[in-house]
Amino acid sequence: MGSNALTIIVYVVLGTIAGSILCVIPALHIYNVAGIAVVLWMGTKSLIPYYSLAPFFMSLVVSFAFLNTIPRTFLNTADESAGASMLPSTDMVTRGRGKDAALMTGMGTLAGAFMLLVLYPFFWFIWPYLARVTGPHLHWLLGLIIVHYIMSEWPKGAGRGDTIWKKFKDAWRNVFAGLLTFTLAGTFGIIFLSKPILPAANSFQNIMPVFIGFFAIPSIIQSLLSNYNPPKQYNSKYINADWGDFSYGLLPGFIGGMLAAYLPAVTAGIGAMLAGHTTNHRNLERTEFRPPKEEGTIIDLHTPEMYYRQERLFMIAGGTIKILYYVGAFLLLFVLTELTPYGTGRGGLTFILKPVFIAEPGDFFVMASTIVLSASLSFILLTYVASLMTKILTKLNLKFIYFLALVMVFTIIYIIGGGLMGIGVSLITACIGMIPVFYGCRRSHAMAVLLVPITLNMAGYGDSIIHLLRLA
Amino acid sequence: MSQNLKDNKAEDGGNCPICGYFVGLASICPRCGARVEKRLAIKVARKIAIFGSILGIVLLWYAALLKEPEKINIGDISATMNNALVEIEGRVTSININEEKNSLKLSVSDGTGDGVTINAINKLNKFKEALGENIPSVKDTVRVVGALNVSQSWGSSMFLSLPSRFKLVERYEIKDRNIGDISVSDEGDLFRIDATIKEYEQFTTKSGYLLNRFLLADDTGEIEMVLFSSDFESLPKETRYALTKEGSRFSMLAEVSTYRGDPQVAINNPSDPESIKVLSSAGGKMPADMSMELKKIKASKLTSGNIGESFKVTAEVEESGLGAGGVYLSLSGTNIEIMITYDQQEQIRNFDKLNDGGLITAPMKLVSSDYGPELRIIDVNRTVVK
Repeated sequence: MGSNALTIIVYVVLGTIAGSILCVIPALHIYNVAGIAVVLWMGTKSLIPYYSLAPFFMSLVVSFAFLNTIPRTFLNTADESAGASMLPSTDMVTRGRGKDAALMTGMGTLAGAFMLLVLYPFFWFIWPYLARVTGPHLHWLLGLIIVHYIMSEWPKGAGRGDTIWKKFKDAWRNVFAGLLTFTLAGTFGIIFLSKPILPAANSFQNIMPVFIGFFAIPSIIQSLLSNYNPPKQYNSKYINADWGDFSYGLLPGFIGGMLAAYLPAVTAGIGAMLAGHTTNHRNLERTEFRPPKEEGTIIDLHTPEMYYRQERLFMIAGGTIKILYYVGAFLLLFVLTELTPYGTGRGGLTFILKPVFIAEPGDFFVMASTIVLSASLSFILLTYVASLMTKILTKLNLKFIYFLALVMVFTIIYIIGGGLMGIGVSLITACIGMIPVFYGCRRSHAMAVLLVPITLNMAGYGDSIIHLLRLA
Repeated sequence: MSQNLKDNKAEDGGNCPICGYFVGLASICPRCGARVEKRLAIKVARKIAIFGSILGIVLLWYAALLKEPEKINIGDISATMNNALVEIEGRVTSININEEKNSLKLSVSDGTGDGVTINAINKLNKFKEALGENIPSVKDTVRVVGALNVSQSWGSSMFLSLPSRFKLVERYEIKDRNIGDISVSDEGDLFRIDATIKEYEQFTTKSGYLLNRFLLADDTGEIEMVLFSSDFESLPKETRYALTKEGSRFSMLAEVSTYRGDPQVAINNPSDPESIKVLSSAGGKMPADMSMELKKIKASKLTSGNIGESFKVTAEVEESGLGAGGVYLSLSGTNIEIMITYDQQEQIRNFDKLNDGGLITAPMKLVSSDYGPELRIIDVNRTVVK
């Protein structure tokens, strides 16, 4: 037992280091790495002992939840959960506060890791009842989320223009772009999930090209086109948040994270939006134009302090949501109770490991310990890497890095994502994923690729749609 | 060219073409960092995004329309094929029709692997309507297209939602056969036989499983039949009773297997009432409660000296917990636990009452396990929870 425990610790450390190194590569998602790792493990099972398999993969995901903050914040590459923390962090990087943004998100993630431990009684004594009660109602719950999500894409434009049409277009562009993205992604999802066209041999990764196309490729293209040129970054020893900010940020973090961890196809980005709408009732004071402070100067745009606090809370909650989404969803696989004898695990890692791994009673504490160890190591690594980035960011050839990232994601798709057919699929989803980028709507609309078909199938309409599309 | 760019910018009212933020005369948007002056390139990217995605979806639909699912051998299924849409062809080895849950469950084997479970959950009526007479039976050859679900817990299974993705290739013809004509070369085949019980005994394997052994005979010969307790329990009460009486006659669907070089048979799909019919019972009228034949005992009175014996046990449950293969009930007054499989758990009424303690009464057998003596239910239908 003692030597087994030591072996597990070694693999947790290895997983954390491997995950940390790989996750700083822009646009590389840990599930792509996990997919390759599973294939390697199946080839040589002596590589990782079976009892260390889940801790190793858990530590990969934990380190990803921390270290992917680096490319997201400094290199401007978003994934499907970027809505949880992306926009304010980009803004902060342009003000030289990238390290501040990364560490605030990282501390939110660390708080989320400890929250997963504190939530032990909730997971074991309340969660199984919630899962059992809500299970038969998921289809209409997801339907409500879809409706709320689409409706909350309100007109963002200022309505400027010299004709009515131009004013209308300017004001409503993002709304129609959101609807179009949602419709196209939903249609794509129905076709793709009804009759997958990728080769059977690596089907466990057949959704990978779809997500790379939706999120990674448009991010890289956006960065290449936008001439992204971040300014010099400050390397401060302080984080611009206090304990009060963390106590405020944990509630939306918990709500958004648990929604994303439990509800199928609801990602961290959607969870963050829902949590924000649920809890964000404090910022009633608006920005306003005030007379110039000095005569002869321009008008003063007054931004209340509360705005900056919202920014901080957004970052902290985003970090918490990330770990609850990526790690919590996998941890729920180990909550084996009489009401949930097979756990309620969801998410990419649960899906990837399902064919080779089975959760057993008693594993929960091993996984909880893994999270604590890996999260602590990952946060330490995050502080060093964030400091390093403040020094080297302006010296990096970002265009070259983006180009390499593009080559890398296509190579991964070619190897384990269905070859040329997989690349073709990723190009289609990349086109859909570029609509939010170029028309300024939410990128999470692309998650309709799973939300729509899952909801339709749960509601019992999936077969009729398949017949309609003649794919039966 | 530069004049065109200027005109374009003026036309847009000085807003960022990507995020819509007012940029004035700036060439780079202060909010999103996009270049404002290179609007022509952005317009092209926008057009590619919209037209590319619409065209792409049409192409995807067309590719899906033309796509023929890969035909695979069950033995070739691997973990990396999880979620693959594939076609398999094989023989139905078991079938479970659940009218109450409107579900159809088949096991299919093509001889290359362990077999695949095909699940049509909440689709039974739809399949009956679409397939009519072609609803499959055991040993029929079928062709199925579905999404594979490879799991360490459940092995390989396939979700089947559309009747059009199911085809009955060949109906298996069940022939009558005399017992004396059955040989090892018939292994795997299914016959209808008329047989008389010549001998019956119940014994426990080294691993603690309760087996029922029968010697069947007709005018042409004799053959052995072995039933696990779970199969035996799934038979109707009257059939069970008659099977234990020498001289009872039956008509049954028997599947041939071999044991140490000799042929033996087993009842195919015992839960199906058509699988075995009593022609005459040698035991006369069946007692009202067969379990009355078992001695009643409280679990706290059992000792390791009772291993291998069966009783009608009453036990007070202290707590329940999950373990390998099922639910374990800790009992008051004894260290002996009751092991209940998940299948049994589903069949026991009011099982949830045992979560907070409760009283369970059932025909049980005390067996030896790796963790000491353990009680196992031998007739789930006569299990009562209070």
